[in-house]
Amino acid sequence: MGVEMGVGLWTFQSTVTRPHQLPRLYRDFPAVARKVEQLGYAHLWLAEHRLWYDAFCPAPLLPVAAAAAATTTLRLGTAMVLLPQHDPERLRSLAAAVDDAARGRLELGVGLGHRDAEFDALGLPRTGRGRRMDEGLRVLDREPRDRRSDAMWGGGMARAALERIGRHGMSALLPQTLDTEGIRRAVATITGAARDAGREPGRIGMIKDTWVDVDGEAARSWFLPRLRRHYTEEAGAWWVLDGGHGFTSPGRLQGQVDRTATSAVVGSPDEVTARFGEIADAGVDTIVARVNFDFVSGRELGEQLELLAGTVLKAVAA
Amino acid sequence: MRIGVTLDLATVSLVEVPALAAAVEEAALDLVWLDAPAGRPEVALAAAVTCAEPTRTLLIGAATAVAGHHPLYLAEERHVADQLLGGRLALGLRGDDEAGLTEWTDVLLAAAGTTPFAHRGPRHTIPAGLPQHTVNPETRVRVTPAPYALEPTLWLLGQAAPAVASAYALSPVSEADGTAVWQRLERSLGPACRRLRRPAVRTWDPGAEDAAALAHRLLAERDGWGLDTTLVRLTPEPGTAAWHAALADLAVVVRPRLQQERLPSGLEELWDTERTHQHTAAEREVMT
Repeated sequence: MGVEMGVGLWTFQSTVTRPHQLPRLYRDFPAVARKVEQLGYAHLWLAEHRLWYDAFCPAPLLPVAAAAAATTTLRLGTAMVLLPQHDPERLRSLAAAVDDAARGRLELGVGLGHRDAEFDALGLPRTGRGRRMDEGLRVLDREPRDRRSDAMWGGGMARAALERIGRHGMSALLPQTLDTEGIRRAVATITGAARDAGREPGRIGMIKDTWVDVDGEAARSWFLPRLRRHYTEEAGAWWVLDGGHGFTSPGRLQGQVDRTATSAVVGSPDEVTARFGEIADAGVDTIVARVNFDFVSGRELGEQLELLAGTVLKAVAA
Repeated sequence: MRIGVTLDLATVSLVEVPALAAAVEEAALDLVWLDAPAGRPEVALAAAVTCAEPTRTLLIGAATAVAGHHPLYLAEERHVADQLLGGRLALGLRGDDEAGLTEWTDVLLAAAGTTPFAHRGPRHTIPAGLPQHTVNPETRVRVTPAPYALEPTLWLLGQAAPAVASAYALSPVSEADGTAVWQRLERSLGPACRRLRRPAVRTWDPGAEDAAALAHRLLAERDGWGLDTTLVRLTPEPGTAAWHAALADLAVVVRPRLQQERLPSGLEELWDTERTHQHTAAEREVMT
């Protein structure tokens, strides 16, 4: 298959579903990153949100720097830093410092962000996020570049977002709800925009909520209800549906949760490998298996990382 | 007295920081103090967290500065860094403009609490209350995660440090003689001064000043204005044999002489006699 495979997402949350000791999550993270490296994964990814009860990490580049000192080959990525919420010059400087600490192993993913409260705390209008994204990318993409263009990642599935990725020669982390036909269309849009801008297109990646068990049915019965509960809370409290947060539109919220659960890759090693193969055939060269959620314990995460590495990782990397 | 060592991130690469910090811990000193390069204050905390795993007990200081961007970024990064370091972070905040340093100090202190807060300052309003934000707008925010430490250390540097330190009962880091500053703080704060550490940055060139002479220089400041935490700016290049030798001298020559009100007669002579049987810093450099 020849696909690069990494794991995500580290968010350092302590939720109602499963309260975690935050100091332990942070303290153990460099050792977890080292284990991920030893298991053979190509990269590990962290996410960013701010000002929420569960303490979602607002500064993922700092755990990246801490993990950099504990690893030697593992690439460390953000999926995503919410670029429109940042001062781009400051972010450029911080990312360069973290990349130095990681000896060039930082994969800097940038996304839009969507919560009004996050923008408002920083005195920034959410409505200007697309323009701020473009301005921020011009700063990050400015010569002399601190890193390879394809070590910059962008997300989204709107045409404007895909064309932006292509124009800057960035790599793409496509949303998991895209089907194989959607992936092919996205790849074509990105590639076309890159060529129009005289840039080489970057890599095509996709984050997939993933759970594997030697018994595929056991994987589905354990993981999917928990995943649905996870997205019910996240989308209910955060996502904007019909002009309000998700809980104010129960029907649409249910639809969103259904879509995310349906697009998760869950099953036996053979089933998961086959699904990843279909994604690769559609043009994806980098898969981030999201196995770390707020509802997963440290022990469950460790076991999942080992099983995934011993089965699916070997197959997709071959 | 606690003894730390400064590292200037304008000359030390971040990839070198973990091993240098580990050496400071191995030498049994108390603290490493990471000075951000001019114009790049955000680098200090990035460097600090690289010490999270290579050190276990060392206090990690990060000297950053008031800048033109939003102070919430620093508040959030400070808390994440303190979590990664298990409460071992001491943040230094430099500011020459009193209004700016006051506003950033106010935001950092409010953010380090565990309750929602609002801030109305000369430059920043938190939250801003912009009219276009209509989905679950908040009138107060809580910065998460909380720092690990209950009362995380915040020290102030720069020209505005004495005035802001007095207003918020925080420690200024003395970069010159601390006598006048601490006399003023004692007058304004009274017994609350007891809560404050009295740190200073002091340069030491082991080639020009014997370690025992440094100890006596610091003793005079300790007994004068109360210096209790010295951040030693070493002149040898970090990581060299001379630098490692200086760490050893700080640990076995300087620090022991600073701990008691006075030493029983004969003890310093014993230590000096033992030193003559050990290799001096210069000799160790030659050997290396």
